[in-house]
Amino acid sequence: MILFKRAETLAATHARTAMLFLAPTFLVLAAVGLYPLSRTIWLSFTDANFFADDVRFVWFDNYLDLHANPDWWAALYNTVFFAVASVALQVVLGIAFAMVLNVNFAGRKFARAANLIPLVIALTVASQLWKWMYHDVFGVVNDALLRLGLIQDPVAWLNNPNTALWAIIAMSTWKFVPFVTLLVLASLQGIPKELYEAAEIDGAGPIARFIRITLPMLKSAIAVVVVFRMLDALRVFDIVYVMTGNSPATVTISMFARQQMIEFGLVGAGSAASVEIFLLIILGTMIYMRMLKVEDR
Amino acid sequence: MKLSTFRKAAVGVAAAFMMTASAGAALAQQKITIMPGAWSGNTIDFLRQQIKPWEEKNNTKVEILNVPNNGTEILAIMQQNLAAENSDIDINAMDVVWQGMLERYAVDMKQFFTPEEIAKYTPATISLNTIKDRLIAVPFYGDVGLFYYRTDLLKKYGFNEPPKTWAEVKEMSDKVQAGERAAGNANFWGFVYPGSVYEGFATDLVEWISSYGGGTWVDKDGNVTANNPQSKAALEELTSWVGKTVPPGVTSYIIDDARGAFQSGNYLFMRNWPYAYAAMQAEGSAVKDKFAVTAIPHGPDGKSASGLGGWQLWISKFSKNQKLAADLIKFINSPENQKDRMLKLARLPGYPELLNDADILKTYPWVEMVKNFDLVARPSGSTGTKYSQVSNAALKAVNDMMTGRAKVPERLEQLDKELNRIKGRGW
Amino acid sequence: MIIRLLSRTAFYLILAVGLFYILFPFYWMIVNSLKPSAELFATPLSYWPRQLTLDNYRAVLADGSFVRSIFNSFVVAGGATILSLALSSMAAYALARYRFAGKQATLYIILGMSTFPQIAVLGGLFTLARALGIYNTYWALILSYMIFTLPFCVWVLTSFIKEIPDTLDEAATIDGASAWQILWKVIIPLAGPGLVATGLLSFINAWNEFLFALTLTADNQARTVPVAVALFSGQSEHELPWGKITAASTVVTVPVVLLALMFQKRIVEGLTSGAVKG
Repeated sequence: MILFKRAETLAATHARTAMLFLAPTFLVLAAVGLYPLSRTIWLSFTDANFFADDVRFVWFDNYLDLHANPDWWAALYNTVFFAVASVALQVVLGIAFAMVLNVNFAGRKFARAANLIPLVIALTVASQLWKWMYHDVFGVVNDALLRLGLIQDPVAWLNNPNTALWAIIAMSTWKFVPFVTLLVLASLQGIPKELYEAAEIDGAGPIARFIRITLPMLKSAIAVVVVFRMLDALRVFDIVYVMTGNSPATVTISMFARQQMIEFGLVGAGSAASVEIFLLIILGTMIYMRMLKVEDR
Repeated sequence: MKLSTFRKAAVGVAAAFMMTASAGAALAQQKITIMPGAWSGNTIDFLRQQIKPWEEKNNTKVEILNVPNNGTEILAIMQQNLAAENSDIDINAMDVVWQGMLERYAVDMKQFFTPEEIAKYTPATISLNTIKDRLIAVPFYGDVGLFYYRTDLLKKYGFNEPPKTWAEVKEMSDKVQAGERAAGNANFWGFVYPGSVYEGFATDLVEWISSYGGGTWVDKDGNVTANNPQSKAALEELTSWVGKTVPPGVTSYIIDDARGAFQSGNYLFMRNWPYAYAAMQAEGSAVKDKFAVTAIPHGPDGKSASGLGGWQLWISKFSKNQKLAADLIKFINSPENQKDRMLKLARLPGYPELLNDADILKTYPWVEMVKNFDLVARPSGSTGTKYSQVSNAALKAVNDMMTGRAKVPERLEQLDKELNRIKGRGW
Repeated sequence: MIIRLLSRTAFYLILAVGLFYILFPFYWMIVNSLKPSAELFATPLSYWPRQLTLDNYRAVLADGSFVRSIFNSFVVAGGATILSLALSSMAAYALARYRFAGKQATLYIILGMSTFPQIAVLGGLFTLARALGIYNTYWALILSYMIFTLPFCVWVLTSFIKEIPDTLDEAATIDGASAWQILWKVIIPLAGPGLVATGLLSFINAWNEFLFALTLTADNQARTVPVAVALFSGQSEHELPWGKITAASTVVTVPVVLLALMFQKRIVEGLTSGAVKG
């Protein structure tokens, strides 16, 4: 009886302490997350703008205008294309590189360290660097391809609408392949060696072993990486801002929203675009959380 | 033991950071901050030098902020600051097309400038900057579109006069470009201009289409006029040059990129502002004394029109040092300083009387010609607060045409619709 | 035998191509920053500088506003990291050790916030900064960076703390220690490596952030490195500023790379637990 009572008090104390410990985090996150978000949602139903002080409630006008604006759809297309293509490339190359780095060879330590470099370079710095490499006259990409005879004339990689998005995808792939490599490497190391040995005895070749053992064992890690990278790629801003600016062939949804809000001063319209981006991301986040199985923690 | 050291260290580091974080803001003394415009070349460094005597005399530090060399981005950052009611910035720059968007944040200059002082400026620029009877800005320097050409190369290929029409530009470009490439310069091109999707290119566009008689997208009464046979003809012709007469990279060039390209010696023609003249006449320039300027060429049905540009200075209503800021502007625009900027940087003075100055006319013989130019303005007067959207829509449309993403007639039709959508119930 | 040879070839091919892809841009940045501008703008390009110069570095370091932006970045990234570590270690302790109603929802919300698109909170943060009078100061950035550093730190630290056996807490409880004392005296010292890993990553993330820094700062007072580099416009008379850009990039990148290499193991740990472990 006494024991039971003590346990009950303990649970109550625990709950109280937990609340106390969580309170500062919640307070800060409410201020920097929930408040700004609710404000954006509210503004998306108004005609708030930079040029006048009075604000009218306009219901769904901003959303209707947004959907009638071909630029929004073009930006959405660019963003999804960018996200799907760059994440696909990152995953394929990341797995390949992780398999290589999982093998014991001289210089493996060096290669693993090198792998970290693109990951920690600031995105804007990396974007400036690649912009320079893509320069139509003095860029190393053109110089190398010309020397190798792969192209006859220099290409303006970031200007040509057929190459601009791909040039940006190649840069983003460079930046984030190491992340995929890192995570895949971590789960590769968790695959028991016995599985491979058993398969080898059964006469399975390296390709068969990869398909029958490695891929299934990596499945959950890859799924998480894909969603994690997708969420990031769909929000892309820095890279495109630095490398191609407002060029219509590469404009993304985040840039579209910022342009509406800050450049055009249309706060209400830009907020509506932001809310739609938010909904898109939240959808992805829910999928992501499903995968992490938060409830198992 | 170990624990307490760790803890102390952590607390110490944290405290140090928090202290530096708060100290950063509290460094202010008497200070005037200027947010400059897209002033290419070394205008900003030059201005810093010009201001020094004033700083000493008034015991005030003048800070000129670092901004991107791109008007579109500067406007975004400026609007952001104004929305934040940022009192740290006293003087802002204003492109000749921003009045409608910024007027409510500017103080009336008439408080600080006497009618006599105001009367010294070109009347047209004063009326441009007068909104609802308030003088919201005074000119810093004026700009007109100039067409640069290589005198040595035209002569070498047997052309005695610079081109007057776009057809002649094409003809001369083709001949010289073929000749120079055959002579071994694979990087030679006929024509270069700042073709990026940004405000610096918007003036070139109104020059193009109005030189064919195609208007300026939106007319003075606010009617959308983008889609007409003349503008179609102008854009069909000029956008088709990209990749043939004009380098494909031009769609990312800003004004100073175009100047840098022409200065490398690998181009026959360039559209740019007057400042490029001074920059390219400097010691060490590869084209020094090998180029001259003329009026913007025209199309078959139109007449030459030079785009109106230039920058104004204005005082933010959030500034706490408005009077001091006005005094600084007066100093910046003293006749001596204006003349000096013209002589060294080819920044056209805001006082028309200086255009008759003997030193200036001797250094820049073309000033006489410029006085008689027909000028064409971007449609900011009729589109007001929506000018950014109008300009962006036009720039994107032309970019699509230049990069081959869309055909001129269809895209022009689409642009017309887009402009009407932006117009909505009115400008 | 042939298969073995093939797979060996494939192995070295992937390794070589992969390493080249990863390292070349980094190499190119350093090499270009050391070239005089005449060589930078001469085709065909030189892959190994014919002439080395530190001119670009001199120009960059003589630029007071750039040096100031490096200092600003240190203060902002450091401040955001310290503040998130302090708040998140408390939150993570509560989440790792206590059972209480609504714990799952709490985790969902915290994790969900880290994925908020920046653009959706940009306007609100701007208003907040203005209302608090911290626009264009370090605090505006430190506070707004909480939206991604804080959830990340909570998330990773929770999994680190969970790995610390709770027998130690129990022993301390019996000795009469309060929850606060347990956290401060038992958990934090033991979670040291976890704190370092988490702190480093949140520092790097804050160091690299761009959009908030672009929007919430106006001038050199608080402008950070990514903005300074993105807005780099040489405003120079004769040349494009690429020499200065590459030098500036090298100056801001080398320290972070060294940091990453020094703490390689910790960073890998933090990244894997941040994304996958959950």
